[in-house]
Amino acid sequence: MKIKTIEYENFRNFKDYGKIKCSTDGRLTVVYGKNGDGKTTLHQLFQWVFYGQIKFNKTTTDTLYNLALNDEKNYEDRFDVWGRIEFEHDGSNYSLTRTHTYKKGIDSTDKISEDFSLQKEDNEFNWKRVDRPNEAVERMLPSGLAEYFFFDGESMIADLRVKGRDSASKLRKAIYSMFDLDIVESALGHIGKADLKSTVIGKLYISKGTTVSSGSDISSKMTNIEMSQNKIEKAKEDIAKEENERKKQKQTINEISEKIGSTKSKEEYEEKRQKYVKERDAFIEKTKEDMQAFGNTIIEKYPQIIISKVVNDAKNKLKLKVDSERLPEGVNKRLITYLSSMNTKKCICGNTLGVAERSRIKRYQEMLPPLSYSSTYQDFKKTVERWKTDYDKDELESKIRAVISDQEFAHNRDRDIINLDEEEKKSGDIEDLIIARQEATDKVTELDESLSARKGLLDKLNLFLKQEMKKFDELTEKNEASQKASAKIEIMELVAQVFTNKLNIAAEEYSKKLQGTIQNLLDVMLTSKRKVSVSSDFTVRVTDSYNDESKSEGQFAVVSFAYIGGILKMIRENEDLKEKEFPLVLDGPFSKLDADQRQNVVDMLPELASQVIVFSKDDLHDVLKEDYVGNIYTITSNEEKNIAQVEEGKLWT
Amino acid sequence: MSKSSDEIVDEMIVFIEKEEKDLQAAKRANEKGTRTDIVNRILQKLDTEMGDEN
Repeated sequence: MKIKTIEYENFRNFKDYGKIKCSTDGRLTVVYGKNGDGKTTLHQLFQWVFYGQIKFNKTTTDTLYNLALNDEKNYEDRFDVWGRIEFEHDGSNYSLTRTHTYKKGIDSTDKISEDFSLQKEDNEFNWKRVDRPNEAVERMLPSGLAEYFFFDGESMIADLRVKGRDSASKLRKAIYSMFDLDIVESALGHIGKADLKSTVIGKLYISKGTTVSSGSDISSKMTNIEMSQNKIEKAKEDIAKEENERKKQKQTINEISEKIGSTKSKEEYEEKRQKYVKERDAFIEKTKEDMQAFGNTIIEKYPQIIISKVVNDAKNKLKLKVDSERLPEGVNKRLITYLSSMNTKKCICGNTLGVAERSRIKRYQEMLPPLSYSSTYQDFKKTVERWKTDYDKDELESKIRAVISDQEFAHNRDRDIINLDEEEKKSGDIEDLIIARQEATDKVTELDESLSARKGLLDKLNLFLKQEMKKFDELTEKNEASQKASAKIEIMELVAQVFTNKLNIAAEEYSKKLQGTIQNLLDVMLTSKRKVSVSSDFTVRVTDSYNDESKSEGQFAVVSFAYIGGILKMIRENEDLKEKEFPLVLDGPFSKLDADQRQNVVDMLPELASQVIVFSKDDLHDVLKEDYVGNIYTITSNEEKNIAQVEEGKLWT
Repeated sequence: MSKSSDEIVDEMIVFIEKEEKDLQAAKRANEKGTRTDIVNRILQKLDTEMGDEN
């Protein structure tokens, strides 16, 4: 598949219609955008059009329509959120359109309908609607792999750093989906076990006693078994809920701890601010000294430069005034001196000279240079001739450079102070963070106690179930129904064994393969040596020579690229998938990479997929090879960041 | 002539894999398909394969 265009209207902050033409000739499409302009939104638009699902981050709402447009609408007005992707796949052109229609109500705006259509262009260039568009899209671009085709580097880093187990589970899910192992896993769930009542084996097991009459021992055991199965199911649900809550609290603790680690106390901020202020003032002082030194050198060695400046200034000033105030021809210093004398009562033209006239004449006088132009200029020329041979360009330039450099230092420190103030404003009070962490820790302790009690109960229930099942087995041993059920259970257990073996072998094979591909990519992209290991549950670990896991965000960013690279390589090597082309739409964490890493990663992009569309807030043009750059777009946004648009070309640096 | 255990196991594997694929496709197309349905169909198929049809 190669994406040719993506169009949209009224999707989140993209209020107006817009269209991006993607390069399909192997070159890179780049969409630039600053923080908050809507890169991630546009990146998610791809997934929304293909699958109708998107994952917004916690800080944003899940409203799809543009809020500004909604505000403009009247009560009962209807409007659409719309996206279309045109692509080619296996030599045919397709057009995929998703539309949600909303109606504005008094209190809320609600979705009233949605449409999803896929059209295919036939040999006669007619567009025909494809039946079951979801299935067709699924075949062309499996949704199980969506997170990897539409790769959000930032959230992958967060997953890798904070939620190792979650990213492993996502990866396992994706790989299972890629190789149809999800089907085997689902089958195993359905076959189940004797103690799971809604599964095949669970139902077969209980059917051992179906032929007996009520009130018998067998019947009572059956009731006990079913009741304890219900209780076990409920206990497991409660445990899962609490474990999930515990995981969230643990995650909160980690996030707060990271924040605390990077949050300075008020004293630290003040100390740093004072340091910056002191440095800035020192540079300002130094700038003044440098300027003074420069002035002294000029006056001492090159007075002609001053003279030249005076002449030029006067010329410019006069020219300007002649133009704007129409200074009459023939006005000279002598005439003005005569006119401005208190003894002169009348002008040469006959008009009386009052206070206003005298003041105006005085202004003309101030405009004129101290000497006549010609004499000043002649003096200047002579001086220049005389000094010309002694003119020391390097000396003057070095003094100018010193002034500029000190000014820059002072300016940088000024900016550091502003940034520090901003950072302090944004960072929560460290005390609040510590309290929040303590609350989360207390909650974990509380959950641990509750979980321990629930697990104890579950153990007891399981034990009781086991005992009841044993008695049930003994009582039903000789029943015909029981013998039949046992034979069926035996068959299903063999089937389950085949599926389990298949899964284990595949998990082992694919995790090792992935480990190899990620390691190869990391060796190329990372400047320092790191070892990758992918366990059979698809947990990825990247360790240094001391077997410590990497901590730096930059390294995680590189790992995230290697991660997606490794997965895409596996897709390309898969027998069923290798004939297909998949695009890579990448919201890349380039800013987290240092210069070398960025160059290495960018150099790898052409190898990741035959079509790569990159969203970036960082200028990549210095690291991209010229012949690899295809279409370029920039997202621009209004100050409130609620209306964005895409324009062709790179509009900012 | 009744089938051997191995034959039944093979038949069941093919059957279950197909059922699961169909279920997956139905889920992706947002169509209905429940756990109970597939469990019941597997049980029916097992009855047929083992000659235990009622």
